[in-house]
Amino acid sequence: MLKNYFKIALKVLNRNKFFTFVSLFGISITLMILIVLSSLYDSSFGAYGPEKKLNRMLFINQVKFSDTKGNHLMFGSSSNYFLNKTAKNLKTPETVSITTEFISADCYVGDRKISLIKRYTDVAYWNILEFDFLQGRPISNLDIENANKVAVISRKAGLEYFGNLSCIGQKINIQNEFFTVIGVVEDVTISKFYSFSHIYLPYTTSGIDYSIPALGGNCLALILAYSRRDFDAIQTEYQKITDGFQFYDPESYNHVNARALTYYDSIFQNPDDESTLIYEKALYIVLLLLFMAFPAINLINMNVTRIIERSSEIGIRKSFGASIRTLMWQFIVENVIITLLGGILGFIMAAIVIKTINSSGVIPYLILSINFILFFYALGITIFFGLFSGIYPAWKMSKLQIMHVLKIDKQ
Amino acid sequence: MIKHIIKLMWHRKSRNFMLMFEISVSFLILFAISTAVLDNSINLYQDRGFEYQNVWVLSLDWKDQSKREVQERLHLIKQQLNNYTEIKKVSLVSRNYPFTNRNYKTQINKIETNLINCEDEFFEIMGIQVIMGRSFRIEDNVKGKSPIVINQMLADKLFPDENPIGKLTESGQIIGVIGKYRYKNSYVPDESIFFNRISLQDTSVNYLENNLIFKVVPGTGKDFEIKMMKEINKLTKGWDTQITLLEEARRDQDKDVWLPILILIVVSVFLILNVILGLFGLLWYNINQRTAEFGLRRAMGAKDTFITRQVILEILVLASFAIIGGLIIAIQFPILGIFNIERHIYVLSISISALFIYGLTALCAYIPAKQASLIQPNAALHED
Amino acid sequence: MISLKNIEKTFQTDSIETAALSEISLDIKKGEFISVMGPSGCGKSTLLSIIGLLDIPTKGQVLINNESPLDYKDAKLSAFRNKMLGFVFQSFHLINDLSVIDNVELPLLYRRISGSERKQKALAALEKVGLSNRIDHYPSQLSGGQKQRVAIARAIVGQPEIILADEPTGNLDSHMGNEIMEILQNLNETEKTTIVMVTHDESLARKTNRLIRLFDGKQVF
Repeated sequence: MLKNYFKIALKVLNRNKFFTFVSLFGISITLMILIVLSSLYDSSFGAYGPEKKLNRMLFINQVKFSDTKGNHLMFGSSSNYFLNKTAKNLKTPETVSITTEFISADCYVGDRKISLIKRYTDVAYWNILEFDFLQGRPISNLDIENANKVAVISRKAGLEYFGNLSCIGQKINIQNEFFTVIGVVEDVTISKFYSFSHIYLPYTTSGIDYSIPALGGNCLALILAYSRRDFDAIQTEYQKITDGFQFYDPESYNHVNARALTYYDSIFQNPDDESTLIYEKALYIVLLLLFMAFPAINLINMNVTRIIERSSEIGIRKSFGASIRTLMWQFIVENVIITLLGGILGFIMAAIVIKTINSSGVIPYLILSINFILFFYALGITIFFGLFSGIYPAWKMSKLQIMHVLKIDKQ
Repeated sequence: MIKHIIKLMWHRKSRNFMLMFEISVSFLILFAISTAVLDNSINLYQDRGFEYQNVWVLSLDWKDQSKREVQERLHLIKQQLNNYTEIKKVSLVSRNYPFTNRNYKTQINKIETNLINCEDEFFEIMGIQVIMGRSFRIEDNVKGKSPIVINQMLADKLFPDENPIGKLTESGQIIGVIGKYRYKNSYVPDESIFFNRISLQDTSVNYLENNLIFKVVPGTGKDFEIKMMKEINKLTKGWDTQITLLEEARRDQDKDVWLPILILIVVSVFLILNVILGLFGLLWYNINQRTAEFGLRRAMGAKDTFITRQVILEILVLASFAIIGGLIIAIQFPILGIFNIERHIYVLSISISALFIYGLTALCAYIPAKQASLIQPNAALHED
Repeated sequence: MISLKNIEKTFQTDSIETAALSEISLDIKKGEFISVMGPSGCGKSTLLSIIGLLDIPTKGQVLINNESPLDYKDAKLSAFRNKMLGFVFQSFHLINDLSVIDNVELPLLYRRISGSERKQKALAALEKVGLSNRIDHYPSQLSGGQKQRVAIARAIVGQPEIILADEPTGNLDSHMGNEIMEILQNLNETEKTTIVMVTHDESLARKTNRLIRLFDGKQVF
């Protein structure tokens, strides 16, 4: 049965080449752009790469320190001292890790300059995030306790500095300090804010005396909860802890706004802001729908046109006994075939675009990936398109009365 | 004739609603793009107020060292830098040197302004011209004096129509005025700025700036950078250091402005392609379904050029309905003065976008219109 | 005023040649009301389209008022058609998206006259067919007979000298058909408009001045 529809569908498409071309073109380009956008979104917010446990993680990023009189204001990431005294005292979550933001680390080796990024981490970092180790091991408790000058480096750092990845035990010169390489991990895209880096070092090697009180700094906290359901409890507990934070210089600063937020919020939200960015998210969804609406509208219009054009054929088929269902299904199958073809084309084009974006380096260190999850997203969207733009016209078609279409008066 | 076509299209509006919607949205997106491009381009051609070529910045992070130690080392580093023949002048400067995304704002006499801490050599390194008074000099080391240099924009706000030289503000005495200093990126207009004098000699300060900005001899390249950093890193043991070339920083900052616009343009090309497809669909349908009508009009005595004109005008009227719909939103921008963009830029953008839409639709309609005009009048008599 | 000399019209489809009309010669005097009859496929509509300058004969000459308009370039021919001819079709062919009065105005759009003058003439034409109370209605709101009356109003609004009617009552019942016939006769008598009508209906044909019969593209007597 389906095979029959399929054969007829192909014949019909072949007959009207212009329409087929136009539909394919529109669908494949829409899908190409949608897939590239999905990849961008996924590379930033998707739970893969080291950030696999994203759905049970909270983050402390931007913090605001002020005084009640309004004379002083400090806004940005906080210090290790502050996070140690607050986040590390949380009882509800499974683990808490403190890391830094990216720090530029230009390496001068021989007569070359290699621009790399470094960040300092603790041991919990490697438990919360799941890096893909190509060689060696992560930073250990011993490394932290002894402030060992060791480093975990990424594939890119390994290739650029040593020329190969078998560099365990070799030394890397970072601003005139020598670190022994103990592990090599797969590259992480820069859009993964909390896990991206080229070099990972124990925080005790940073030269900072962590016992000296400080408020502002370049540190971030990663919180791994036992489950999503604990989020509210953790946020409440954190609020309590920060409310009771002892300021060492209350004349300058005596008030703090710090919150443990989910991934997206922690990057885009102001700590002052009580809203949940729901309007922004809604806006993006609206824009996305609008974007998809264009080709969908065109498809629907084209389909309606096709139906009217073939109305006499339909009328005749009906008068010879073809049921409405048969006709409708035939039409929908034709439509889904076109959209599938367009989808495959769009996927191929998207893969090319993504490879180009990655290799062109227009956004440095950004790595977009194309994987099967994306392919299934794409497939789902295509089939949805195909059904959606076929159903309304098909329904209209079923309403056509035989005599009406056989009559010559087309007005 | 026009009225006739308007009546015709108005009656067909519900059928063509979707297409008009697409055209409206495209119009609005074009409006956004042309506003962004126009606004940024206008600023692009304005005087920057300083020179960034051959200017490098050495940024330092001394972690927890004591102020005295840091100051001693900074001295040594500045001396070392000055010793190189490739380096001409060196100055300490605050973290908001050109092309960083950093803000350092404060208030002078209740007016919000940007604050830049710098040493005497800064103005020469940056090639900033003083238009009134003078910039900082070693004589200003005298205690008690707090000389500041401001830009023309701040002078106009603080002391409109007066000579600002010598005037006292809550942050110091104005000894000089410069023109523009558009340091954030190439596309933003000037902002209020005042320069505060600092000196490495001054041991009384609580807070030390951590950036050394210097001018290098033209032609100095990576080889020197590598050699210099190796030697400087011996002095900065334990500190984090980074060299930034202002030319490269400028490129990165500017990219933050034009990359989103480029992405918007790519998306809009896609959307417009869809509009074109939709238009062709509509026109093709028209020609095929309205053969009787066109034949009839020819029978009534319409010339073939009239038919061509009719089809094109129909599409232009359709586009007009759509643009009027979009204008309802677009016109809010100049009326409410959103984003502080000049009214005439908004008006210009609206005109450009409308013209583009008209041109595009007319172009798409041309060939189908010609097809329609070829329909023979007896098509009205013979029905198939 | 209309003169057809040795008209021949053949249609080519692939390798088959069909002769729709052969050796037709006809003279129609000003003010005559002529009907053309014959079975389906005998070439009546083809003859009408040739007289109406809608189609070009393969051989022969068409003279209207001693002019040979088929020799004119398109612009002049269109203008000629606009001034001299009015058409009434079996399926009315009204434009559904325009109101009655806008439909009637249609031929005047292609002349250089002002909007108010157009409206005036349209109203006058609608009065003649008795539809002055429906000027703002749309074709979908009218009965078959009313639609045809609008079509006639449209045909006469430019005061043409010749009206060509292709089965004007074909889609109407006998009562409405008679009404239409009355209007046409009236026109012919009062305005002296020359009318050439193609019809199936013997009874209507008998009311006209002259009857021409066609069979297989040739005139028969």
